[in-house]
Amino acid sequence: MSSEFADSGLMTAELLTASAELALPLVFFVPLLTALLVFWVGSTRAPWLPPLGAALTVAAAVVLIFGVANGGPQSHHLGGWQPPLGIELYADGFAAVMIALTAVVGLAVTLYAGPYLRGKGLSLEHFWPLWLIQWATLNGIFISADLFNLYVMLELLTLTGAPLAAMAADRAALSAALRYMLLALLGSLAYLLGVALLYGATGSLHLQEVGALLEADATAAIAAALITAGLFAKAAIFPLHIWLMPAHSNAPAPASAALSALVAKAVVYLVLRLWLWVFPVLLTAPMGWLIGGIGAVAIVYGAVQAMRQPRLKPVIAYSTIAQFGYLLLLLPLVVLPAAALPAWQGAAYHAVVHGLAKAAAFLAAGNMIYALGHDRLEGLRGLTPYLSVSMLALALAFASLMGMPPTGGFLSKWLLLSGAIAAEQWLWAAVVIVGGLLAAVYAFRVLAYVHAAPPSGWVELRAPRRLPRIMEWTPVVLALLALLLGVSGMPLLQLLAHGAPEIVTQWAE
Amino acid sequence: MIRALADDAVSGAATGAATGAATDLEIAALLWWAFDGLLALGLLGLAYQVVAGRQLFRSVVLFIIYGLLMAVAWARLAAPDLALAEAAIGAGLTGALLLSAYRNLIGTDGEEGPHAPITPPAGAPPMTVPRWAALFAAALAGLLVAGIGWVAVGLQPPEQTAGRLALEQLAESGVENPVTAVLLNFRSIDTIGEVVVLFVAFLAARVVAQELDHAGPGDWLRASQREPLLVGPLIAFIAPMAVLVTGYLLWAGGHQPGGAFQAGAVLAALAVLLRLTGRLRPRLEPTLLERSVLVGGVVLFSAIGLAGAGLAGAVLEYPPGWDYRLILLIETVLTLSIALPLALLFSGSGGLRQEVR
Amino acid sequence: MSQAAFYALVAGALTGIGIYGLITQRHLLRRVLAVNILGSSVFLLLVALARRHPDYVDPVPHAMVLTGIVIAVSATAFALVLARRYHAATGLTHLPEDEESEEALAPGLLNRRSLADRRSGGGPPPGQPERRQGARRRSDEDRRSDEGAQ
Repeated sequence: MSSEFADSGLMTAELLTASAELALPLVFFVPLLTALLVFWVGSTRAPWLPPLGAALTVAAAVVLIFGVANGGPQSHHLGGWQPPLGIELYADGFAAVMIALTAVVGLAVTLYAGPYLRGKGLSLEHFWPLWLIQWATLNGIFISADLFNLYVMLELLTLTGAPLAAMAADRAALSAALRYMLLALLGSLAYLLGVALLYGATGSLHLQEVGALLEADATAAIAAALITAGLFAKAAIFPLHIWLMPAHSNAPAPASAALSALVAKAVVYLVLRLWLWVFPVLLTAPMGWLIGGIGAVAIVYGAVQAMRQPRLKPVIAYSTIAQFGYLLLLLPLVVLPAAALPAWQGAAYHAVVHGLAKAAAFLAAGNMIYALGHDRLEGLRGLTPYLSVSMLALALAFASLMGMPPTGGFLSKWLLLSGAIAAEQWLWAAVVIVGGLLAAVYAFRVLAYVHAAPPSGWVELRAPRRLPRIMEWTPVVLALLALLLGVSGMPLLQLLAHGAPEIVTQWAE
Repeated sequence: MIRALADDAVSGAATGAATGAATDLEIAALLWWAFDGLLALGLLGLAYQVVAGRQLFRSVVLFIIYGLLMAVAWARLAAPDLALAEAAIGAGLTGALLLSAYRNLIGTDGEEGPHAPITPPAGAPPMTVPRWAALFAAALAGLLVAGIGWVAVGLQPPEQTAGRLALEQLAESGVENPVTAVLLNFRSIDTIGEVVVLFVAFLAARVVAQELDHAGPGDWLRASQREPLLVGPLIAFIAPMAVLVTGYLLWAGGHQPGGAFQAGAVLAALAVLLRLTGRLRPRLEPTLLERSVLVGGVVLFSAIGLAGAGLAGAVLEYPPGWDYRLILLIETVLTLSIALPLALLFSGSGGLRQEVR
Repeated sequence: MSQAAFYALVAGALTGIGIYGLITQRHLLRRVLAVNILGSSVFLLLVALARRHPDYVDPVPHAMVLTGIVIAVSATAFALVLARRYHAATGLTHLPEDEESEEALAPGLLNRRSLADRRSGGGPPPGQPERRQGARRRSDEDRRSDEGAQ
């Protein structure tokens, strides 16, 4: 009897693993085709279509993740052509982890966006196709193993992101979107220039093949510099960060959540993937220090700016700039045998936890804007009774961002820290600790407003608007997931181990 | 030294004068070098004028000429497909978009209020950053030129390239034009992505769209205005020709320069012309037919691609023996799906309607 | 020097001009022009790289450029629509100098908005006053152009 169960369980597992290869293109095509269908039918005529598409996308993602967890990295040669000629879709543990994050946050954004945008009087007609195409693009970036295909995806990411940031169409949003657009275009072209040089040097566009053929010469160095700088501009890494705060804080809340937790994150993902898979020959200690240094400055700068903001969404947006710095700390640590594995795990873990916490924080801020009509911190005083659930989500999310135990943020920072300490890299260890403390400062500053008594003489002119239940609870669920990741980290770390980069695994043997 | 240069040029530039005597060859090669040199000078001069010239309108016009020169340069570099596309899209459509935006943005400057930047006096370049920033920019740009030039000249062509593989396997792609083979078979997901980019640009433009009066290329031909005498007959001649050229480019793409993109660009250019002369009018929302055309290319391409997983073995793989027919079908639909968003982006509207005269 | 290397150098120089323009010019249309110059310089480099081989012309960079041209025109079109809307909302043809000026803008907006908040309870999005102003200016202009047409 029990063996029968085991057999059927085994068969299901085999079936899922077999269909994982097909799920690879589907995580791109399902949301894309849903988006086109939504546009064709019109979202008012079929309001159930976007959630259905989101559910199908999540299903494809689950099949894919299951396949990676059981059968290792999955690959699909599009058109049946071998990689240097054709394009390969490839999902290893890192990609699967990011697809999982995108599925969770994407589902939350899809559920939240409808009531929020309707309540704010914004049209959903173009939001749905743009958002679903953005989801497809995100998945595409995680699984594409082709440098030029990634360029196409990056442009798609920009062109779906900018209109979402501009949706409010007021002065601040338009100027932010324009700035984002111009800088992102510059970034894409720098990336493309680097790709052109790489193709000129190796004759290939396939990630792994280029990585294998590349020698540490001037071409590789210039190409890496162009690609890295271009991606930094698109991900708002420190000196090229100016567009992020206005763009992310002026977008409607669900779009802010997607932009901060996923879109900019996908670009940082690409930075890490390219450095670990394509440019490991160039990843010397000084190079790691250079990029890690940029990350460290971003951590401090973003946190200090976040402390000074008078509004909630800019605080969260600046926190994104700071949190991306941690991801860059991977590069100086990964070259050191003692630190490579924990730093790799810590960075990937941080990407996931930050995504969940940041989405939760932005959606909670969205609830505040929905209920009060503004997001000024001063105005938060004495409002805890109205927004208690949302503020709980905000507090949990901030706890994760500052790395308080037992949240997921603690685990990711602890992994980074233990790597730095094991390799005796005191500077990076200090950066991790200081970054956490600074995050605590801006987080508690916000939470202090939340719990402060109302100002004296305060008269309530109008009761805050009632929140739809789904909007109230979505950020809480996301924040709880971020918390849960601190309690049990093994499933994610095991998934991550599939197809870890050689630069990490070479020390293990 | 000149001799050495000419020798190089003979080996580098595939000129048609291969049958002449040695001296003829050298002269031909030298002439070609002179041509390339002039072209390069023209490109550089125009590019500088475009980004830093004094008058913005002149810069926009020069950008169009720059695009045409770039097309010539690509023809020189044995890329006729690209020369066609650059002339039609890079110079033509982009130029039309820029001119229309210029009229909207600048046509009103200098006549109003506190917001408007003061029109700079002649002699000072308008609206630039401070001198130190310009110096920094120049230094950065110089560094880039030096780095890229150094690398580009020193690059040794690799033994094996994806392009060589594409040429070797061309027979299995279903078409004879290698660029079409790469775009619609070997790397077809890029093409899907690119048409999605076009669609997304249209959607994005709708998000920030203004009222119809201000979104498009201005108020050409209001009802009260009479159009010049020759416009009618000219359009009556150009319109069928453009459709013919579209069809030809589409069909030719299978075996010689041309294809869905060039054909779509020509069709879009026709729509731009009709919109400018008032024969097509903007409409706020796309009709069902327009929506179908907008999404049709990607939907058909993706559907055939996904069916390939069952019928052929991989997503985006064509069933054996069907490749040429399917590619032609996809290209035909793509032509429309490329032309319409381009036309709508120029028109600044969600849809178009025919003007009844 | 071969023809391909020559054009690759030209591409490098054009890249420099594009970057220079993008950094030094502040007018939105100029910046869009500079981005387009930059894009075409990258395409030229790809085309030149495709021409290096003695025995064949590489079709893969050609396909990349064709894709790139369509992407460039899409992005340009959207950027121009955005610029027009920005111009209609603010009357400006360039972005505020830098972050500071936007911050300088913020307190005023904040005050106006908080006043409006008190009054209406709702609170219009920031920048609404400017937008109205822009719209009025626009309609004036229309009247003028209509008069001109008559």
